Amino acid sequence: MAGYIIQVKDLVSKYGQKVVHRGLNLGIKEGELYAIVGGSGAGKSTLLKTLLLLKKADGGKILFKGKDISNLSEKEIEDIKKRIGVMFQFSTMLSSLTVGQNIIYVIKKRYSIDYKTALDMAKLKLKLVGLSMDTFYMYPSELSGGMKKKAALAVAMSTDPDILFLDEPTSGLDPISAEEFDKLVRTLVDTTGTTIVQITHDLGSLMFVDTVAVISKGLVVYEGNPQDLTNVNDDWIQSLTNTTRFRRLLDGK
Amino acid sequence: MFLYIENNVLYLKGYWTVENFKDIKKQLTDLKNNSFDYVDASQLEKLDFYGGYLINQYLKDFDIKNIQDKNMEILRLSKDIPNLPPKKSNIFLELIEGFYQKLTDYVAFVSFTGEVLINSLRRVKDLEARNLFKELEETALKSLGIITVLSFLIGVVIAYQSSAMLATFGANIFIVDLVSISLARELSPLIVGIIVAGRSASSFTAEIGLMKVSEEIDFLKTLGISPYSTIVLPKLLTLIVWLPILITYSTILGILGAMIVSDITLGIPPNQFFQRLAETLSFDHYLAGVVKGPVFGIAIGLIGVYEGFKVQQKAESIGFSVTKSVVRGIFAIILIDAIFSVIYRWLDI
Ligand SMILES: Nc1ncnc2c1ncn2[C@@H]1O[C@H](COP(=O)(O)OP(=O)(O)OP(=O)(O)O)[C@@H](O)[C@H]1O
Ligand SMILES: [Mg+2]
Repeated sequence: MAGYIIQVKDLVSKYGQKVVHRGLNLGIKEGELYAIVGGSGAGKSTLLKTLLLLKKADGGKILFKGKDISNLSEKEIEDIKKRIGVMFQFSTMLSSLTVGQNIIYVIKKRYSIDYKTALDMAKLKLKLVGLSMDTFYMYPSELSGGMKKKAALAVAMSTDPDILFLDEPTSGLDPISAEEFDKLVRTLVDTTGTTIVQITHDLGSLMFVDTVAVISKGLVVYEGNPQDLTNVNDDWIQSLTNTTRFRRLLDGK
Repeated sequence: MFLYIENNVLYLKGYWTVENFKDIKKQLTDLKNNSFDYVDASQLEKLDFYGGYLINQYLKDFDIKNIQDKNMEILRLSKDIPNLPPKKSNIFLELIEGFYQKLTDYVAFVSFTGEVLINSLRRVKDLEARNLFKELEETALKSLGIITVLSFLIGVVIAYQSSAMLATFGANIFIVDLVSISLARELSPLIVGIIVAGRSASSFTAEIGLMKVSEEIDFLKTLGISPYSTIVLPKLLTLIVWLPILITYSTILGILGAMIVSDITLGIPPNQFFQRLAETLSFDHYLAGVVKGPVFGIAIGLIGVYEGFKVQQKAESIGFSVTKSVVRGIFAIILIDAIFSVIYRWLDI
């Protein structure tokens, strides 16, 4: 079994006096599809910022492939950042470039790759996420919600990151497009071996993941497979699993 | 080393990933003169799209043996690069298309103007005093500062520039004619028009564009309220009334600037300046400048508002529309000013 790509140990995060995480632990294994859920204000976005190395931890450790990042040099941190892909909630693309140019731009900014290869990669990535080649010439504003998410995913995957973070990828999508996107993410994990972590409010997405971590009151109160979520003795999880929407999902399985 | 040859077999090894792309490519290129029978990928630890791409480019004619399943999958995914559809790039066609779009845009603008006029006049009762005051503050009062400074400076500059020349002819006192008439008839209306076009047309476009994107306009319509009379009419009315006032104000300040310069450089005391001013600057001259105000106002207002309503349901397009409305607004001001000149000439005013 593959090892952990990211481990978080006793993480403490604060904004001034306000404590968001008070000793949070979790472990993301290489090649898995991992979901982070939690109520509004639970600290999911803060955790994401910390894992993207945009915010410093106020306590505890973060290990990337077993190495404590606080011991690494600036150069090593930069190298790690290059291996991380991200798709923010309102999709990560530059509106002034076409989808194709966006992918090429990211590739060329991160690595010294010749134009021809970058162009071919852009085409391959568009194919990978199931977009037609017409989208290569289209601007983000010309795409529908679902297409925009796929295009942003292609941009995020453009340099084959080791780990990819998606912040609420299915928000704003209709249920059909949302499920299509969930399945696409699952396929990408299975075929390319990329580790994908998604922050989500969408209970439907949980059914496709390997591991789910539930954040509540500054801690991870559950980390395990989504099916066993119902047996966990925690207030927030109980309220979550008692929602009609969650029941329906389990029954449907 | 990412590859080596042994017993006529090419062994791939290590991390065939994007970081190593350049090195691997170099080693593959160097391989040209060597021969081998097949490729063995058993020591290939990691393959990503970039490595797979290289294998598919350089080693496609060979059997790849002993490749791990997960690497095989990547190799498959990075094969068969799709072709982009041809990009239509007929310059002639694009020119015609561009011209056609411009034309339909003008037609749309004219019909928009008609719609606004008819709609807002029919529904004058929707006009709210609150909105009028808001516009007065936003559009009118906030432009006072820059108009004050600019008008005064222009008066100073013209007077200063022409004083030297007038002095050589001993025609000092004509500075008053020169400055006052050119300011009242031409310069003040232009300054005011251009500044208001820059400030107000853009802010109208941004405001209405945002309201369109956030569906406020649709919301108003569902309430049975015409957006033309609640939003557009106050803007137009404010501009129509306020621009002549601004032009008058700008003329006065410009003349003030010139007066100070005349006193210093040509030795014309203020009382003499005023006397001459009363003789030369007829009410006709003043009127010729000030009537441009309402016309400029209507043009600026309509252009700003029109570009705002044209914004589609995408926030990205607002910036683009704002730029367009400023450029078109300023262009319209200069064009209208030219038309006025022709008409005045014709009517001999
Ligand atoms: N920049 C900031 N400064 C101060 N407090 C912040 C800041 N960002 C977030 N917080 C606080 O930290 C807590 C966690 O916020 P965070 O955005 O991480 O929650 P979240 O789980 O992502 O919520 P949501 O699901 O609503 O996006 C909240 O109480 C929030 O008010
Ligand atoms: Mg959040």
